[in-house]
Amino acid sequence: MSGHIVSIDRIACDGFGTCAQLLPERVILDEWGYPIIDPTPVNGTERQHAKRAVNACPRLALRLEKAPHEAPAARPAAARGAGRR
Amino acid sequence: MTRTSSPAPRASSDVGAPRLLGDPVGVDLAKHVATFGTLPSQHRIKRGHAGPLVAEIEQSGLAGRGGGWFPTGRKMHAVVNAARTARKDPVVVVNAMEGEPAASKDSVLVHRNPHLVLDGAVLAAQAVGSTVAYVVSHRGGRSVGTLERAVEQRNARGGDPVELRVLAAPARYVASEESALAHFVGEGIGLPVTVPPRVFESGVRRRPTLLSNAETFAHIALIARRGSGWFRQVGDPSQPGTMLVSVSGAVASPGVIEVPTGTTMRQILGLAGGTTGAVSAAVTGGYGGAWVSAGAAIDLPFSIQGLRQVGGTPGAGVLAVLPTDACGLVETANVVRWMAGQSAGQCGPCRFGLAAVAQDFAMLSSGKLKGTGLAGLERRLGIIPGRGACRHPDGAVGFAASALQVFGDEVQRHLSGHCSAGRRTFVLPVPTGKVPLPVERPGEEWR
Amino acid sequence: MNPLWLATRATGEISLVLFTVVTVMGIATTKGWASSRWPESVVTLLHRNISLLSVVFLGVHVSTTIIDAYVPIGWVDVVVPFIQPYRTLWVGLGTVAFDLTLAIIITSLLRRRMPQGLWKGIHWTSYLMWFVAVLHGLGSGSDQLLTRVVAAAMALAVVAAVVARFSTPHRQDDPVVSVKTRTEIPR
Repeated sequence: MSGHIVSIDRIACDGFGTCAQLLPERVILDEWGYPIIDPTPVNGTERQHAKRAVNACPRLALRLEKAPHEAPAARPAAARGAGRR
Repeated sequence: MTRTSSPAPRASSDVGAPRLLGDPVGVDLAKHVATFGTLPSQHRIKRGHAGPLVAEIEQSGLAGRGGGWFPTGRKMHAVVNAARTARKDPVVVVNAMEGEPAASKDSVLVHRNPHLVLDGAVLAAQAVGSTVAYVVSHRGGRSVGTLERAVEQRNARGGDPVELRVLAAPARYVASEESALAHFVGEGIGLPVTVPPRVFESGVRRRPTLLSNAETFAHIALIARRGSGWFRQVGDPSQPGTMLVSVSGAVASPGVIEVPTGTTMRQILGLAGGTTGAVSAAVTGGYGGAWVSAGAAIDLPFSIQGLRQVGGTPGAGVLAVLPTDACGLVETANVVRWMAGQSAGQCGPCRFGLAAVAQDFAMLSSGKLKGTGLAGLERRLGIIPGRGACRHPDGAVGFAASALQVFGDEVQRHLSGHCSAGRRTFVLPVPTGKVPLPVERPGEEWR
Repeated sequence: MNPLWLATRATGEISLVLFTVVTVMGIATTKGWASSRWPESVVTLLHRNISLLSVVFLGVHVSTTIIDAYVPIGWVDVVVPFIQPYRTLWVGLGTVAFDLTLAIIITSLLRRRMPQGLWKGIHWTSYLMWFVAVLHGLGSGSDQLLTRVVAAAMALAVVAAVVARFSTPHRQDDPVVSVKTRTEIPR
């Protein structure tokens, strides 16, 4: 059963933080109030919470997208060499 | 923008005949034709079909010389496919911006051989089915004038099968980012936009856009004349051909050099007159690239695979060498401060994160940072990458992180308030003066 | 007294109060006014939910007006202003406010399917809509002190919020933080 992931438009995001309040399972805020999103797919009830978080964003910066088939990339560590995703 | 020296390209006789930087042609169409031959003719392509040149470029193994090193043939195919799917004519954009302060290869190329770059743009446009090619350079730089005169010359001689348009974009670092450049060409705003979709699918005015570096187009112009086999005759087989490298810092003759890919750093430095004394480290790739330790990297091939082992990258052909009397942390602090100021300010982690990192680095470089501060800096470097719309913050963070690694001993010294450098001036060029961001950033007009 | 007429006036009054709350909460949302008891997510969601509640009361207000035979206001007059004879101007303003409300609510429900610039532009007319609604209330309601007091209180609330909205810096308006410590080359 493939899940959905929360994806974000970084330019639209204005750091309101609504998402972190409604989906703390996947979203935490950095020191400047901007979301760090865990790319693990959401399933079951988590998906309901994710939908609410996506709809509640005042800038509509979030979307629920079908998870890609590969395992989500681990967040880059303190960068090695030229950072390219 | 200031440069550390006026670029003086030389014939790389030890490493074979130069291809792009041979005897200078300049804005002289007759001389260009005499040197390289006339523009090869291509038949008009139906939308959604790739001209034969695309296959030739694929076979040549040409990869983008703007820092991405993405296979150009594959990119051209992607543009053609996107044009077919979207039923829209594609567009070609030549990135002649030269936004990287430590690089000058594109402006040197444009001055020595503008018609080669323009030929490549025309040929690539024909091959992917585009009727227009935009050539974009920095406002206030000399390349714009050179390119305009070159286009006028061509028009006086009957013009090209593809319309060539020269544009001048704001002299801002992020304006030369792929999506920002397409945004500028399409809507006049030189700020990155959210991807996906990438520009090959939806770029200038939502059309599939073939956007590549000026040097890449110059290579295309030669491959079209001499074939993919010729192109593969020199260089690293996995990434063939020649490349332009901007060498600066502690070398006797800084400037732009053309070498086969895979040439070692030692050979490149030799061609730049050799180092002017002991060197400790070098910047590879640009200010979004990485520091490497001189001892570890000097005999490695200056290529993606070669430098990967030490965390470096050739990037857009940038190699800046640091003498031992300079402090890598001080240089990095200066660069990172500039990079933070170059943020488009559209994404929080970049706008606020880079500023915080710049602040941390400034404190570290002046010996005012303590252990907890360093831990905070490392934490920030860990959470910023991947959280901006473009890769600007990733590059700046990568550069900063590589400094902490390569200059580890110096970091310890600075934590106790000392610095081992004796030098009083900066080595790495950092432009002065501000280029204002557009008053209205899209989406911010109304709150 | 005519119960429909009472219902019209009561629901009208309540609608105005609710829309005032909605407007203030909309400003609170965009400015990021929040606390631990009233986190941003609550402010945003309340703004949306109360606006729907306001529309319900507005719907009743409009319906009772139409059904009420005492005044000659029909279906058409609910969407086309200034064409019926009873207090043409003031009731017409109510129609204008209603039209604007429809546009705002519908575009907000369909927000994801439209260009954001368009949504934003229409949403901004909410300030105008609220103001027109207040005028409508003052002009077409009867001359009762309570009406005027309520209208004044609502006006005060919105004016205060608007002033605060435009005079305080935008929540993320800090200029790119300038690096305070000049990079020096230490001796």
